[in-house]
Amino acid sequence: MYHSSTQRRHWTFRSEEDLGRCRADANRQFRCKAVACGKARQSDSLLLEPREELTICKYYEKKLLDFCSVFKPAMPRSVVGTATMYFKRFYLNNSVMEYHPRIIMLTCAFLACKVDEFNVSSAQFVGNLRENPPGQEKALEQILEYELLLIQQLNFHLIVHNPYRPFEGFLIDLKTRYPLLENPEVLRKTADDFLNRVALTDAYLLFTPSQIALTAILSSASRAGINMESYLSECLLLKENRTSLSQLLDGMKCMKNLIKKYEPPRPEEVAALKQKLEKCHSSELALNANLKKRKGYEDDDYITKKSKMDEEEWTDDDLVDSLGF
Amino acid sequence: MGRERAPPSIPQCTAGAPEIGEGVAWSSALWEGKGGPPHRYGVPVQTSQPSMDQYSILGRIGEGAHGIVFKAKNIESGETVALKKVALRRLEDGIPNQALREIKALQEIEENQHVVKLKAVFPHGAGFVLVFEYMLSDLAEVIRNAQQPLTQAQVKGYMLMLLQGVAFCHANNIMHRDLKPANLLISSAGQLKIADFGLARVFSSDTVRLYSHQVATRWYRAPELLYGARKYDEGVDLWAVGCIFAELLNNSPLFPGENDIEQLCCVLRVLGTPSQRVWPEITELPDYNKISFKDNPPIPLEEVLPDAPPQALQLLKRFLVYPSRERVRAAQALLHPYFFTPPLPAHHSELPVPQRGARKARQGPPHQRDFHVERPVEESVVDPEWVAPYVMRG
Repeated sequence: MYHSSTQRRHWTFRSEEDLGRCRADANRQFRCKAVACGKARQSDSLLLEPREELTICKYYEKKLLDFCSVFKPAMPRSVVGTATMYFKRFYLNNSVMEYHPRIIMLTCAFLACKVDEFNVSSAQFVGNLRENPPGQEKALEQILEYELLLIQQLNFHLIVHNPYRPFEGFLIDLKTRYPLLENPEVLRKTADDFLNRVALTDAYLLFTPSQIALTAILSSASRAGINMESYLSECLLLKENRTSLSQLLDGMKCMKNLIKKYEPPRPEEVAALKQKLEKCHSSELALNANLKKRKGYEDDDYITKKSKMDEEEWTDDDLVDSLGF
Repeated sequence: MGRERAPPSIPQCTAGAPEIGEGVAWSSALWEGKGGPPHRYGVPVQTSQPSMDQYSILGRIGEGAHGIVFKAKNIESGETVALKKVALRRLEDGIPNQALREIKALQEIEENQHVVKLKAVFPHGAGFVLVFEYMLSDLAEVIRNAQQPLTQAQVKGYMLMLLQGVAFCHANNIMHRDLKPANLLISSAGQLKIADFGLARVFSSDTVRLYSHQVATRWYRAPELLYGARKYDEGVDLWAVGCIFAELLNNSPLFPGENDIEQLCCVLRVLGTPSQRVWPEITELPDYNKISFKDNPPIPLEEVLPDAPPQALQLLKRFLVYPSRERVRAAQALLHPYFFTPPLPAHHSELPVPQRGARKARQGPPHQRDFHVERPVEESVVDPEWVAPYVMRG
């Protein structure tokens, strides 16, 4: 039930400003940490600005969707939605400079498959990376390494409510209670496009799944020149409830706005930022070098296994190749 | 975390080792089993509230499917809790599905007094820890320890709480899929709470995804699962409720099959060989054609459970029917006349609470009256007239 969900209680925010604040805090926290261990100065140009972090996130979010869309066996939409939501939630409180989105993105998809009971084995999962078997094994190793961190950063809130079920619900409702619209299925395609586009924005963090679904339907209707005002006022009983109606309409406006102002990250900008990001993760700056520090405590077996893997770092380009782009 | 801090001299807790004494302060060495190779999870864990430092381990309760369960005390609040540790070392598929399911199911539902409460989850070392309210016992132990069969009022009391918990889960779209007496915990106040959501599934009526039929402990497994069904509904829980009900009435399991085939035999012997007439969907079940049984008429439940009162049997029959959708739903069952005719359901404080572990059950009437802050002091002191004969006058 959405009403008692952790999504409603912990992960639905009041405004875009709230989201911006969380992200700026995450950025600042990383800067402080970097300064504290003497690896950077507060206003170091090596470090990414919050705005730049957002661009990187957008880029990897798109990559995540691409990865899911070619996944075999075909990944149900709700799994994709859950993975996307995990990714968004993770980088609300974490910096890309600390945890590389390349691996977090795959970990999100991996965890979403399990939580949503889309049962693929881990071998099958990494089999979707166009990599040789050792490369796949290495990717899996990393995914498993970050899985615990991910669910911790998600605060163990695992269930994500996606707009797809309410969307189907609204279509059924239209078919049964709204004879004015002859064939509600005509709305599906444009509404689907809307859902795909809104998934790239912050709407998932600001609105309830049913608000998003209803907006998809109404925006599709208005594109087809169909007026559905009476559905809201009569069927959804909003005639007497002006406040709810205006709240709903405000929300819809805001969502449309989010879509309108969404800009896909520009390739040249991404390329420059990725270089910067790799520097942040290079040895001079990496804060989570515990992997290497820790080795002293580990037994021999572990060290040899681990250092073999450290020989070749699994880079972004490998991933891009493996996704076939 | 903590691992490197732990001095090697601390005794490690392995299976069969003596229980950890009261008040042993927390040491991560206790978690780490045989002290095998260190974990592979090298990602730094930011300490967030709550953490293991807040608890002191009091002992070991048992071993669950995915880890050891400890009894512990919250140092600050003094509250006793059960800590279920999920270890993640050397798991090919990462965090086990069972642990995810348990967290998923319990985090999303609001509190209910008949569903065990997940108080917190936090990472620890190479895994994480689920914090549950501490429960003294479970229904399996109650049945095992019963000197004589439970009274009708007691059976009704347990069934009432069980059905309330099940109705709540189903209203929240959660199928438990593994209801059995051992998963029904009993609190020190005699309250029954459903636990172990490791197999629980959040169900949705519109999905076409298939479920596994390898769920539920055999004795409580619904016939459609025994026939290999991959699409089923909350009816599997209601079948299990029926089996538990019969077990309470009779003090012994109703269908104690030794293996899956024998399990089906047990069910068929009592309910009769299912025909397409009583169970139309049976022909669609995967294993329907794999096994066939001799035609066998049902045995009336009155003969199987001769001591059970007629109304109890009436309700029991509504659970133990072949077609899943015909089984009475938990919310409906709560309205059955069985619960409204004397003897009325026992209040939870009148139900037996066997003690776990070594502590002896309280015997006889309590020799001390509880102290209540708000009661007038006269009530809690000895009436002077009682002692008058013994007072020496001088």
